[in-house]
Amino acid sequence: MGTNTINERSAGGRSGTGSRSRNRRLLGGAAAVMGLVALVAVPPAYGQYLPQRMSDYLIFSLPALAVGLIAGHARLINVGVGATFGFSAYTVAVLTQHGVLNPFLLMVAAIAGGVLVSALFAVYAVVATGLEYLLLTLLTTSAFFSLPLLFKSLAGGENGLRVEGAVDVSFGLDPLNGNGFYWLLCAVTAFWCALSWYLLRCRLGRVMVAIGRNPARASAMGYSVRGYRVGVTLYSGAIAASAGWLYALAHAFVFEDLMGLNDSVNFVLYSLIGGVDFILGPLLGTAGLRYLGEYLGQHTAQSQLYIGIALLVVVYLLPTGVVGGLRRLWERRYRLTRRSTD
Amino acid sequence: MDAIWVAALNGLVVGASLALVAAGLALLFGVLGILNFAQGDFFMLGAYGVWLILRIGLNFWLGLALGVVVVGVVGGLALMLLLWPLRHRSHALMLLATLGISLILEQLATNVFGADSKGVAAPIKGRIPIGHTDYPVYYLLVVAAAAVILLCGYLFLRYAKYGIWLRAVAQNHRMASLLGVPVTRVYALTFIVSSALAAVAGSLLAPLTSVYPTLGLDINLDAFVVVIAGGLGNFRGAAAIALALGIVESLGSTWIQGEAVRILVFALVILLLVARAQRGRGAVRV
Repeated sequence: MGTNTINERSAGGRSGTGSRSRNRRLLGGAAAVMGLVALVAVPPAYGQYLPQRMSDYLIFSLPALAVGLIAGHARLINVGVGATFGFSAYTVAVLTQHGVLNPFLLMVAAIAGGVLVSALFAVYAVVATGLEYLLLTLLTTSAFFSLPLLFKSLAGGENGLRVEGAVDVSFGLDPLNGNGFYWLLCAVTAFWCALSWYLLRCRLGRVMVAIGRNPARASAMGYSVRGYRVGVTLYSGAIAASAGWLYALAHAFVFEDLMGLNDSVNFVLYSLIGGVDFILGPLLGTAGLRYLGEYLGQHTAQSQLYIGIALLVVVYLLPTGVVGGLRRLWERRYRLTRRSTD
Repeated sequence: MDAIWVAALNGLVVGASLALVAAGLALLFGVLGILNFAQGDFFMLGAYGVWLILRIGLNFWLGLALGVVVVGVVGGLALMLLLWPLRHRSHALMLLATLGISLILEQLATNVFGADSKGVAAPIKGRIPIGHTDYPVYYLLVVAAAAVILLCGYLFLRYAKYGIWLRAVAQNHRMASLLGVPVTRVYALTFIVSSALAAVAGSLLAPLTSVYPTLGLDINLDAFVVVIAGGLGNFRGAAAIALALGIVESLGSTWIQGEAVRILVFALVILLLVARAQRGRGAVRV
């Protein structure tokens, strides 16, 4: 009788856990759909300004997502994603200068160019880890920064380079008029987020999560840590490259700072502040930090001071990022509620 | 021919000051594993120290000494206070913290001194002829001063009690602690010496460059390159590479485009680091 009771209880417990997990998944799915609908519908309702501002947040959130995927699931801090982002933006500008105006061709070329740069980071992922990997990526982005200055006739040097072809290169969507381009950005961001979410939940992604948590154990279990790291580096390179392509279309102008250390470090900041263990983290980190920078820039001359303090607050109080901190808070509250119910 | 000599000497001057900043960076990394993004800001504060003392009518050398002591002790201990709670956390968080400190220091410098560039007069005005060119004596003095400071640093690490303790802590801090080495005091000393080295470089170089709040940013990247190429945490390696880098960049720029030289240097350092990482010889050495 006693054994039966225990079995019934444990079965009941398992079924309870299963239904809770299902409920959580349903809740998460519903929240994601609602978030996407809000992202697509709300900003255009407030006129032209908000979608344009949100466009920049979306573009910069993609390289941050790329950094987050590498940092969170391969435990490698890539300070060179700016090189991938900038190189693909330059690819678009250079090709349009040479008469290539087909939007599909430009998209493919930009992503291919970015992935080619990230292949360099993939080599680093094979030969180095930890701080050495970080330093290699830092040096690479610093070297890429000098490329437009070296190839002045091709890349325009310090003057930058215009993207020719007007709206023809962006599928006829005008970044400055109407909401079409903004919706294209929403679609690309949603695509990468959904694909990343799916990949992290399938077998491949679970191995990546395991490698992220404990590379030595994953290796001992027979998984090729290096192989998976190369894979995630190339995949995140494609994400950052698509952001470079979109940036070139949105701004119709590229310049050497896009490949430099400044942007690269910003992408790392966005992802670490948002939380590298979550897909939503880098997106929220980008929006939050860019908004903070813009707001402070308009209202005070002390923006650097406040951003520095914000960085320290995150480092000391929210080491897993804002999303990580919120999740911890939610879990604590959930545990307390369960304890009081029991 | 004169141009080559002058370019080589200019490179030596840049390399010498870079060596001081990089040596401090390497020391901090060697002992504590911290890659300090704010190192360049201590360089900037050292330069402002000299400018401030000259502005109130005092002597350049007094400004240098005061700047180094204040930046070294106050800056070093403040840095230690901020980074100490993070010593067991990941490199990424440590980097973020030093980046935050760097942003705060730059904004504070802008608030106190203004965003404009400020000139600092060299304490020695004389020039010596090199071929058909008159070369400033002060530039050569910077090289000599950097060489003396680095030599003293090397001798300190090799023979002084605290230098030996410092090396012991860098190799194995737990073992050093068990053997009676005051590890916390050694850490504090590392922070102080590292900050002071950056400040002395900033003070010495102030008459050569103008002083402005983001001055440290410009030297930071070069210092990182030097520390990486010299072997993370390797004090002597950093000093040697800094001198070589200064000379190569200066001489190279006389023949080929400056950007090409930079890309070449970066590429060489990347290859060196890849080779070292493959052989697993990136061990920390002070």
